[in-house]
Amino acid sequence: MAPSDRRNFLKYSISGIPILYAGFIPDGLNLLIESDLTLFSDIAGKHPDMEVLNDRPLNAQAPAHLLDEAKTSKERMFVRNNGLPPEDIDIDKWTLTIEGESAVKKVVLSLQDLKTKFKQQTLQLTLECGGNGRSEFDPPAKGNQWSIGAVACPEWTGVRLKDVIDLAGVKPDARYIGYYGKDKHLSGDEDKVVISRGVPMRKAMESESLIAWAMNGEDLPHLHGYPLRLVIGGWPASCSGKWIDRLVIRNQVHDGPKMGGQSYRVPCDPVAPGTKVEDDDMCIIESMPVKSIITRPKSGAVVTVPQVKINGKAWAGDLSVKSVEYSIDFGQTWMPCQLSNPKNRLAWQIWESVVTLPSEGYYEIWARATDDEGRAQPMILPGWNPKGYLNNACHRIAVKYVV
Amino acid sequence: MTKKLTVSVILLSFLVLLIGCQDEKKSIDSLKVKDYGITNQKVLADIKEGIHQPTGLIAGNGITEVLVKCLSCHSSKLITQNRATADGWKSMIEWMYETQNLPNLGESEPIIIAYLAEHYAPTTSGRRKALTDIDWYELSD
Repeated sequence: MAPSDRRNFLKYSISGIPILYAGFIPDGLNLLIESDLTLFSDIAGKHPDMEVLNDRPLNAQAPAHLLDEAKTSKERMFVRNNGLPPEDIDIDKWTLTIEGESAVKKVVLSLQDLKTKFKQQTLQLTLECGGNGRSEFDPPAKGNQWSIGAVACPEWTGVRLKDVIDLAGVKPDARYIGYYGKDKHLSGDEDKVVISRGVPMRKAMESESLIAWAMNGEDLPHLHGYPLRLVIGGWPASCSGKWIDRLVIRNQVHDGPKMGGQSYRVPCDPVAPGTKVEDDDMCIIESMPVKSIITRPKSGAVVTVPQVKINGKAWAGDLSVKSVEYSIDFGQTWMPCQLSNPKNRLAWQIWESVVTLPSEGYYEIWARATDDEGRAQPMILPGWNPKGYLNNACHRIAVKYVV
Repeated sequence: MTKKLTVSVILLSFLVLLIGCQDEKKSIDSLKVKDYGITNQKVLADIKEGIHQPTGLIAGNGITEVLVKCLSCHSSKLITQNRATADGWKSMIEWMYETQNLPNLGESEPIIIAYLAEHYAPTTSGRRKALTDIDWYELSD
């Protein structure tokens, strides 16, 4: 059952009462719970091996081996929805409004305007959820328990965000842009904004920051923002708003839902694991840290020859990756891998090597990337933070050599 | 007008349910009631091996409140994939009050928090866990 069908079913099926808010249920009423709460584990249009972490709102990740493609296909791209995708989308009537206190003038563009009045760009850009790796935090952090697969690098087609912002004009006091999308809040409140984040002007005006309508040469998939989304490569993917119909140019740090409080923020100064941190002491995450994954072989390989070909991906937020190494002795020694250049700035890089296992037994192959400023991935969980963001600890796979 | 109608429908359903529940109470599996502290017939029927099968939630006192009050908005997976102390669960509920339109849970709040803290308590995992659940397969090039 598609997520949207299920939602409608849920709204009306419990005892036939339309439920929009939990609060409509009289306290103490012993409702007969119908079987409509059943979870679903398959998402239409997704690879069957995608792991569904949450089915309302929908959140799903790829196991590492599914990310072996150079360009991530739509079947394998992670899904991180905060609300419910809009339905009954009429692309002929869809518009994007650019306004805000630091916009010189308000501009309203149709999809056709966007496709014809600006120079089109096609770029491969890496999107990674800020909470990718959260499942390893101890004490545990709240939220979707992503392990490794909330990352993807498809090819996006659209126009530069900068070109559209320039059409509206930017006042000298402009500091931030924010997006608004048409997804619906889980509570059913039509007026409630699900998520509205953004980026500082300097990031918005980069050549790689896009307003995109296509992914891998096709219209955006419905789950990934059809018909229009932002793509802000290298930053937490929540900056890349989906189903967008409005951009605001702000004279302050944008203050939409999930910009403030503890959302997509980490302690400004490091804290001991488990520390409660006040909102005022939390700082907004910008570039994601250096990270790599082993996409081949899939963990659990039993080999009968000592040579094992390995490959994977590496990325470093706003930076590029300088080197990738592997270890088969838990980091005592590291061997270099061959590393390709990115297809363009902010695209992930492909690496490969051949491991030689010295004798029979159980091995873990660990990969470690280093960015072009010399920062490498840690082998253990890096700085604990209350919401479990930015875990860029080395990925590892299990391999057994039997003769 | 619509609101009045909705309220009437709710009240009517409430009455129907009350009458309906009289018969059902007779057939409640007394063992499960004792084990899990659950009295709702439908919820009990869906429990197998300690798990409420449709949602994957652990059977226990308070599950009915969770099913009704929590899952009318979000998936049970948001619960089953998380671990927290009573304070941690309380802070998540408070976040939902403040930002997600969750109406006050009233008397259900302590029941729900006690259920969550008992069945979804944090475990210590250290800085890196051993790899587990490895699905071994033969790799041939």
